[in-house]
Amino acid sequence: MPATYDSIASTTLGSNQSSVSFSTIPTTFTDLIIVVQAGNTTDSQAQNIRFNSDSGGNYDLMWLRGSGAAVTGNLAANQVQGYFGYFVVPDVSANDFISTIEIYDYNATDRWKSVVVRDNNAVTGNFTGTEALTWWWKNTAAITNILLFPNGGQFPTGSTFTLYGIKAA
Amino acid sequence: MPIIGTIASSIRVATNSYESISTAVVQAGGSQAVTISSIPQGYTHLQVRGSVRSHSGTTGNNNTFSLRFNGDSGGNYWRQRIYATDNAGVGADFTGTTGIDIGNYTFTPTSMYSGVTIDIVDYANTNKMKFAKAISGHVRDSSFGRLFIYGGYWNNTNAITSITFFSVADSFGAGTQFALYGIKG
Repeated sequence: MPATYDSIASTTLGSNQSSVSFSTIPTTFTDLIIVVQAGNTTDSQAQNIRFNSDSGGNYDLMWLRGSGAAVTGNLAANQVQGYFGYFVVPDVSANDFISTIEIYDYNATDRWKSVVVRDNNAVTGNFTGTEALTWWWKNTAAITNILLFPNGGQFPTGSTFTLYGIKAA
Repeated sequence: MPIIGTIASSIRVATNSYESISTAVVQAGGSQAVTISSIPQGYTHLQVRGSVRSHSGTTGNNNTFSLRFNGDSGGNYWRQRIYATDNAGVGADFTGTTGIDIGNYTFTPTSMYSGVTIDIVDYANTNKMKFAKAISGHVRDSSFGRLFIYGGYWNNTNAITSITFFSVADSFGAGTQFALYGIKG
């Protein structure tokens, strides 16, 4: 059976950055996965993602979030970006937030792009939130560029972002 | 590959612990069930990556699909789910059933495929019941959406040799696919 789940690109930040981008993505895989371990220099900032530089209202999201003893769920349609996590505490460490972003059929041109996210965030001595999201990018174009950026602040030094490709038989 | 705004490093690492086994694709006309059979027994875990859409395109707003192992359609499954619905609804429930509910999709439009990743651990171990878990969901429009976290088990220690995905109230539309992967441990 053919081995798959290949690391396409990986970066560890040597300084604070306002965004990370994966571009010129190979067309040979079926799905993409992005694994993030990061932080944010400013607290309570949404962690955003855009495909092919699309900043229009073309993202529909559902989330289910637990933080402390509270559980919340919600829907947000026609957003100007997708989303891969949310910080709820002040956090400048590069190790207090993890997120796995699964992007299905990224190269197909007959369907919107479906995404499932799992993320957790914590600060030393305290665990502050876990979350699942599902969302669509309402565009049938193949994904050729992925931009990750916080609503405010920056990803701190030491944050890691790795892009994997999975090819179906 | 360029990575803007960062100190970039690219690596390509060949891996031989995650392998693609087979992919089942629904053809024109749709299908209410899809079966992956003759699953090789040489892995530790299985993962199924699915893209699912509706065949009818008109019935209701949300549809659940389920899985069965080895053709067992008896009441030998249990599942728990946590969910979010529309704006601000959350809940959880548990049931015994004839298959593990494992994913959801909506009915409109035809370009709307719901992605799902299903993990099945220790599938070939004859000392353990078989567990499956997944996250699945969709947003149909600004007022209707679903997100489910599923966990379930098959009350049987047999090794899994086939997996059947089936839609309860609808059929899978053409282009729906379930890709099976094996993970060595």
